[in-house]
Amino acid sequence: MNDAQIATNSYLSFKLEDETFAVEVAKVLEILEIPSITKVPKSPAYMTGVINLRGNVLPVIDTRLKFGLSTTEYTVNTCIVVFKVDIGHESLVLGALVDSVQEVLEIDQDQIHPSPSIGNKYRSEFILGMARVNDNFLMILNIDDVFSADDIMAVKETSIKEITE
Amino acid sequence: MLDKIKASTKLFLLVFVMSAVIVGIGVYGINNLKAMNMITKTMYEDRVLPMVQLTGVRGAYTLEIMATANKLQAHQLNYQQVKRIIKKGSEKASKNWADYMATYLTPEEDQLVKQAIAYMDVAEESMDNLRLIIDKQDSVALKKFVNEEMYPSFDPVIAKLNDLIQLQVRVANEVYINSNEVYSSTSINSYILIVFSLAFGITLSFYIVKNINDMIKRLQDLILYVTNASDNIASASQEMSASSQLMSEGASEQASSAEQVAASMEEMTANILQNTENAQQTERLTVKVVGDLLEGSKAVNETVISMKDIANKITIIGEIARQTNLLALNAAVEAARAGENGKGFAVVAAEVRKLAERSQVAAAEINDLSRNGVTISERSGKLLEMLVPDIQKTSKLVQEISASSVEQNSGVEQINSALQQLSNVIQQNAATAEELASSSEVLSSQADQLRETVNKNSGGQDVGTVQKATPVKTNKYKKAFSSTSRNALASKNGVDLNMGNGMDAKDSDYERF
Repeated sequence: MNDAQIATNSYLSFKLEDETFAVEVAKVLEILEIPSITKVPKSPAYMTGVINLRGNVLPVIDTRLKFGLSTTEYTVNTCIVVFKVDIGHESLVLGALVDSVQEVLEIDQDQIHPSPSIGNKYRSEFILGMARVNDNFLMILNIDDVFSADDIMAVKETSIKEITE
Repeated sequence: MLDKIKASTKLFLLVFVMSAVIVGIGVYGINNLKAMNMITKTMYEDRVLPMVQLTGVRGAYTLEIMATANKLQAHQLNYQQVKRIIKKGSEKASKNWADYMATYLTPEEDQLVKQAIAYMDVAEESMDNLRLIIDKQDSVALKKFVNEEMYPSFDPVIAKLNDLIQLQVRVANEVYINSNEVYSSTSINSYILIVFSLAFGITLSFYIVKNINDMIKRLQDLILYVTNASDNIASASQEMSASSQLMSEGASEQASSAEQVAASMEEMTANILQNTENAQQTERLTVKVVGDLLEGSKAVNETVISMKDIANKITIIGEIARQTNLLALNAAVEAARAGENGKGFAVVAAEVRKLAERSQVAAAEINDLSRNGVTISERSGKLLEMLVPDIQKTSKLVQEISASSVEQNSGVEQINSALQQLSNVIQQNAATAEELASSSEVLSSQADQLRETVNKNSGGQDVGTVQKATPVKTNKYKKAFSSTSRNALASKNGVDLNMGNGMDAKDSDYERF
């Protein structure tokens, strides 16, 4: 499996509020509908809960909250995108709530522009660049950087708790 | 009071009064003549005839008896002759006396007659003696009788007879005087009556003549009036003729208008009938429409249910499409992860995703559409249900329209008959107007004739002058006549109708007073 090759070409786009984001397909494991979400006590606010993914515990993060937006409101289009996040040499599987999943599209590297550092409400380290597709700008996220070590810890704890229970 | 009596009555009164006076005088005269006749009759029967009879008695005594006795004594006659003469004389005397006694005797005469009868008895005795002497033919006795007895016995009788004759003469004289008195009183009374009646007659005649003159003056006025009136009538009748011709024309126009109206009414009747039919048809249609509407409403409700079903089904389809989309996305992700090997699959997955997306959009659209359809259908159902009472009301109204159309039809028939009558009346009017026109022409000619007649019979130029001087307006002829003509009569010399002075041939037929 050639991750780097994949990363150069295909992206999965999704929407948070009005903005469109894209993530490398290599980081995406699958897309789920909203199942019943089990809330985890004493977890951070952006931790919505955990779900049962084919017998494994999958922590679900409210991406909107993480990005400083209001709490996600569930619609028919609300989905969970399962990411494989690499932090250092560790990798972690977690679900992110998005308002809707758009499509899988191919973006050449030369179409990606570096993101402006000023006036961006999102932390610039999240964003690899911006691409223009059909007159809309989409922000290509570095999903590994979106989730910090703290988050990972929280998620890990939740996952462990869930598993041990 | 007498002014109000008619002239003929006045004349009749005059003649009656005069006739009564004449009859009175005549009766009075006849009565007096009768009295005179009675007097004359009395003179003859009671005086002249008695005088003759008395003279006869006296003659019988003197000539037949006394003279014969004397003649016998003188031997101038023989006894036989004497006897016959005496017998004759005696009979004559008794006959005349009896006649005399039959006449009317005055009281004085009656007394004298009684005395005479007493003396006559004595005379009869001596007559009997004489007869005896004659029968005996005794000349001595005869001589003695003639000389001694005869004169004393006969003279008183003769004297009484003479007295009676004198009495007759006296009484006749009295009667004559009486008759003279009657004559004079009668003549005086007659004169008085004649004078009185003459005076009365003359007075009354003057009065009546004055009245007749007044009447003639009034007649002059009347003739003036009649002349003017006839002129006015002539002009008025001409106007009337023109007016009635106008009226006739108007009536003809009316008749044609009425016919037009009748035709229009007939058209209207047809229209109303059509209306009635249409209304009835509309009524039937509305009833059918109500049924259809109810059915339509039901159908719409069913449609709503079906659409709701469809919407539900479509939701399922949408759900499926969404899931398909997700699956396709997953497949795409997988294909992308597979790299070069998964390229074909990625294309398929993208296509599937596109289809899923399209079907999702289509499902959403259908959902929206069906939702819209449901609301529209619900609204149309409600509207249809709302329509029902309106249409029922319409049906009722149409029924009413139908009923009123029928009523209108009968009304129109009535109007038609009324129009027919009107037309008849108008035609009659036209005929009447034409008649009126001809009548007014006749009237005009009659008025002309009347004027001519009046002019001919009443000194036409005078009336003509008046008529020229005062042209009288037709509509104000009364006023005009009373004011203008009378004023003209009073003021202008030419109007003074003097019937008295200018005698002509026609006037000479009448007596003047």
